[in-house]
Amino acid sequence: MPEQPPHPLPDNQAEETGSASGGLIAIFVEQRAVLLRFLGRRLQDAALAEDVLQDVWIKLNDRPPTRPIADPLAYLFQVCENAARDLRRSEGRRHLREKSWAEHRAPGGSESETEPSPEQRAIEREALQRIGEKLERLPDRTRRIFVAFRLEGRPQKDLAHDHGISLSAVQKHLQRAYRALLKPEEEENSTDADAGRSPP
Amino acid sequence: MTSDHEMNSKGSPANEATLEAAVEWFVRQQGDTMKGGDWIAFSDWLGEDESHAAIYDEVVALDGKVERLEATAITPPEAKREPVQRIGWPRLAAIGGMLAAVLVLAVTFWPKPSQLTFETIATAAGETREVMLDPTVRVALNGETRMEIARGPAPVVRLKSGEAAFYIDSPTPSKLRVEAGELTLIDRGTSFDVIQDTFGTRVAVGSGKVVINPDAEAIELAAGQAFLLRSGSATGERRAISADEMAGWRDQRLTYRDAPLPMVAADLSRTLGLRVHIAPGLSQQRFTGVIPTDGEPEEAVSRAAGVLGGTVRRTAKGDWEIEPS
Repeated sequence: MPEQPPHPLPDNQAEETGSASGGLIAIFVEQRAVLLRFLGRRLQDAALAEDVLQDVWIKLNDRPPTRPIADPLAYLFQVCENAARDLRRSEGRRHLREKSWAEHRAPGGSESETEPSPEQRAIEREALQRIGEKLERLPDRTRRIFVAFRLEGRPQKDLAHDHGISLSAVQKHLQRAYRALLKPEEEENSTDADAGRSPP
Repeated sequence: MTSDHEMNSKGSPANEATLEAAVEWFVRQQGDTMKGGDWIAFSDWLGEDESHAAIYDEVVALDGKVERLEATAITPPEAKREPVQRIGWPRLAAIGGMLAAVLVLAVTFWPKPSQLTFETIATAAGETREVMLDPTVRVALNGETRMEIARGPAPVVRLKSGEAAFYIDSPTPSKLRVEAGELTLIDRGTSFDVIQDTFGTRVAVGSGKVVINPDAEAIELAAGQAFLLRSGSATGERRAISADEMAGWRDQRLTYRDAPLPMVAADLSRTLGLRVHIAPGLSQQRFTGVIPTDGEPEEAVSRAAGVLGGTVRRTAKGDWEIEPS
């Protein structure tokens, strides 16, 4: 499989045929302000947004995608979003590690990223259990769709096909599942249902 | 991570609506259905109120919690090796395993490509070679194979052309990353074989699992499965293989199901170190079966010709052509 098309193509076709990086980079340059604004809003930190966008730029130049990109702007947004998530995730991890250092002063404990402390494990196990319990209370179809999507890695459009429903219906099920998982415990057995009843 | 719980414990209608919107955006992103214009709308939504980004982060954090949990669940390497193939809803006890099997991707972060140093290694036709990328990752190159490798704790291989088998014996998930054609492969404690040639990219998994294009389609290939992405095609084909079929070249036999003969010839060339072609009269045929490749290459090629329903002829250029008998 050649990495570059064997013969040069007119510019307007380049994006669709695999020499996507040139087109992608041009669009990055053109839409830089838009992407920067997005990252600024996403991270709520203008300086950080600059750094992240710079990283994205380097990555894009170092290792352009090998497959043709149908919607370059959407692709660039997605790359920025992924970078924002990675950043948040590593912030969270650094947090955990610093905490365990301070608490245990473990000698040579710098590998705690892959070796969580017993306390962390206990906390995470508990959190896992809570998530599991909430999942179990979901309506059957919602649960099956969520599990297939999030735990078995099935694409949304495959699930739409399997269940004979539209993609947006699949997304509705997933939204419902996420909302339920995000709901704090106390709200689940809310007593608001009685509010409309008038006293005798 | 932002303070997870403060945010939604207020439960005000405004927050509720924001949370709903955040979840909706999040799910749409996961579905790969966002066009450029949708992303701009998402950006505008984030800009509407600074609480939006925080609540959106909360949704991402919940989703990530599932991923972080898995890091503890996979600690024993044995647990990781056992293929978790459950049908239906798993009981609670099984969730850890499910997560382990599916969400290992978040655990390892590869160094930035700019920090990696690649060296090129190659084999001549008929030559094989083994390389250790780190004490737990062994790579066996078939003949006529060229790859770029970056050694280190999270090795990366770019298979440029040819065939290689990968054997990973590491407790760390996502230890190795292999790029071949349009596919990126991530291991989950596994052995697998990859072929990159003019016909496309072929992947066969012998044990454990492999994830294809983890950042996009995230297709999972389990032990006993093979995947073919033909050159120029956007649709891969998955099929079952027998357990010992993977990297058959190492055991001196090549196994096929409904394979075009020119593809078989390419494999024979690589493995035997001879230039093998299929004559026009046979090139449209397909083959299912096993071709032994042991013994002298010249013998093997004439035996192969017989198995393929033809005979072999030496051309003026010294190539081997399999023609109808």
